[in-house]
Amino acid sequence: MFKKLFGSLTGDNKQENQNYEPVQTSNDNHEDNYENDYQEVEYDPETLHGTHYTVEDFDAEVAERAEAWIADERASGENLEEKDIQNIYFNYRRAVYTEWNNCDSDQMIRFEHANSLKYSGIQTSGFVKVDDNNPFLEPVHGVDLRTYTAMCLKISAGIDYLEVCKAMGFEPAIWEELNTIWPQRMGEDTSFTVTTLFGQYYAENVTVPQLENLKAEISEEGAANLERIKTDRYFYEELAGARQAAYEYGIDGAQWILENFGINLADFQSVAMQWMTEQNQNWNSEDIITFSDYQQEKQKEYAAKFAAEQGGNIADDVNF
Amino acid sequence: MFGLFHKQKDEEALPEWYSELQEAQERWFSFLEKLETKMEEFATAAIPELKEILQGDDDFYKRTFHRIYSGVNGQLNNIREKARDTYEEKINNLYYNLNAQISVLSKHHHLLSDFRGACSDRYNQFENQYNYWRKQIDKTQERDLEIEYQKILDNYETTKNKFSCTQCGGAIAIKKIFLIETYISCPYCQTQNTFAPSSLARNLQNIAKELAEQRTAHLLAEFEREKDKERQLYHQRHELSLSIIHESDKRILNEVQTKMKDLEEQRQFAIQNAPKLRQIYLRALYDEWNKITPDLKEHNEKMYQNQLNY
Repeated sequence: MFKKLFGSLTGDNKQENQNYEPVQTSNDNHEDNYENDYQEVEYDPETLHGTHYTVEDFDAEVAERAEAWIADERASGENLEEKDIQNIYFNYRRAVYTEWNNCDSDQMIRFEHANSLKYSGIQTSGFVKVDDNNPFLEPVHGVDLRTYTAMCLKISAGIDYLEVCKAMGFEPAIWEELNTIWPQRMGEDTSFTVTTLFGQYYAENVTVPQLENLKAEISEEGAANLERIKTDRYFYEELAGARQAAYEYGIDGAQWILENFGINLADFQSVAMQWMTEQNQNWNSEDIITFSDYQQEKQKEYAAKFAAEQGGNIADDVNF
Repeated sequence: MFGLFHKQKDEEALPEWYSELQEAQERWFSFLEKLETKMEEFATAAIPELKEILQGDDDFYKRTFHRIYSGVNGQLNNIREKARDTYEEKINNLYYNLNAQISVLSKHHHLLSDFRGACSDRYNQFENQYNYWRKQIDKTQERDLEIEYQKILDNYETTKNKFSCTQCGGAIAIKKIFLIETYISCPYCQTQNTFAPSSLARNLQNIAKELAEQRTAHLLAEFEREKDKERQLYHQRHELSLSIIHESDKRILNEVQTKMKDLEEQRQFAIQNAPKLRQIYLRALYDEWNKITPDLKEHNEKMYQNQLNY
């Protein structure tokens, strides 16, 4: 029933992409990455529920426990609001999932990500589920979200929006409307479908045939660095740390990355989205901490470098 | 060196490690004082400069301002981190080191906890200073948007009758402030003209929400005061309840319990009333916003509904 409601990930993508060239993504086989070495439980690749029970049984168990608690609270005079009730369900969902699958918190979080739309009404990057008739995804002036994202990518890569309009064959006024309505929809859509899908397309660095020939200039070194931040997470974290340090020293970090590593803002953000999606899909708290520590360490190194260039920090001469 | 074995001998006089504590504490106090001086000097120099840059920055997004603003905060943050790292290294480490050697039963143990208490209080004082300057620097972002709004209105008044048809030259009145490029049909020859609003007019979209917020700030403050009441009243009531733990005088007990009941009623009222004040604030905010940019009303009303449910 659950599958029928949302359709499978790959099925939806096909629907959305059918008019375009196939899209290259760095992690095509998300489904294969969920294995948990030390677990014997087998998980449904889509819902991440253990296959030894049904989703209906799971939901019923959560509801039974939650309702018992709610009744208890009310009996003792507590005034429960909608938010409290949601929290109670949320907590029992965690408890039942962990119990029934005998799993760690990482697996539980992966499960939450995979089911965030069903249980909390919010999409999670890397697990976007799209309904065919979503009014928020209706094309604007014939331009769907994917094409709009492709245009945004070109513009943030440094190509003049007039060039992009010309290639698409429409007046700048149309672009301005697109660029008003799509962001408005992102704001209005409380499920974040538009925003997460935009992010997903952004991460995929999508393009449409009309824009194929518009290429932002990229140096040989830039292309090599771009390839490297896509494949080497440590290198990506280093540049992200450097960029952050640059901002702390009054330097435009995005520009600094372009000047020193030849990677433009669009490409950088796209790779950032790729890593974020990958992180959501293969949630592993140990890795997350490792990468975050590494980024901080690098940020410090670059901060020291920028400080030296600027003649030091203002409190360098204060000693304990 | 570990002091584990001659602990008992030292019970009489002040222990040898006490001078180490004293020295560390003195250094810590003077270190923070120096950092605070630096912070003050830096912030007082930066604030007028930031204000000037903001004034002179013609960019919509005030990118130059934000770049420098971020650099100023970076330096402030650098000072804060220096304090934090030093606290860890020089104060906490020393404390833990000695704490591992000195029994809590030792009559000198209080010297150690006093040391830690004094250093941490001083550290909090420094943090308060940091927050104060951070806030002052944040404030440099504020600008009187009424002035900018007036400029946009004036600009509209002077340009609204200056647009003419590219085909027949007929005058086309611009009936409102357009935020983006828009097609307008010529009333005489029906040719479709593209009207491109001035950069000033386009900027209206960027300032509209903030301007509406400036105009309704008093309502937000009212809501926040009401929201905070719940905790304040709870604590007041809690203190009263503690004060009568050992009270046996019926009259006093009665008096205090009446007060407590009253506080609880006030608290329940605040709980019910705060969401109402929030709604009043939000409605007023969106009304103002819609007045400033009527074109965005349809979108804004959806946002209002979302925010109400949030």
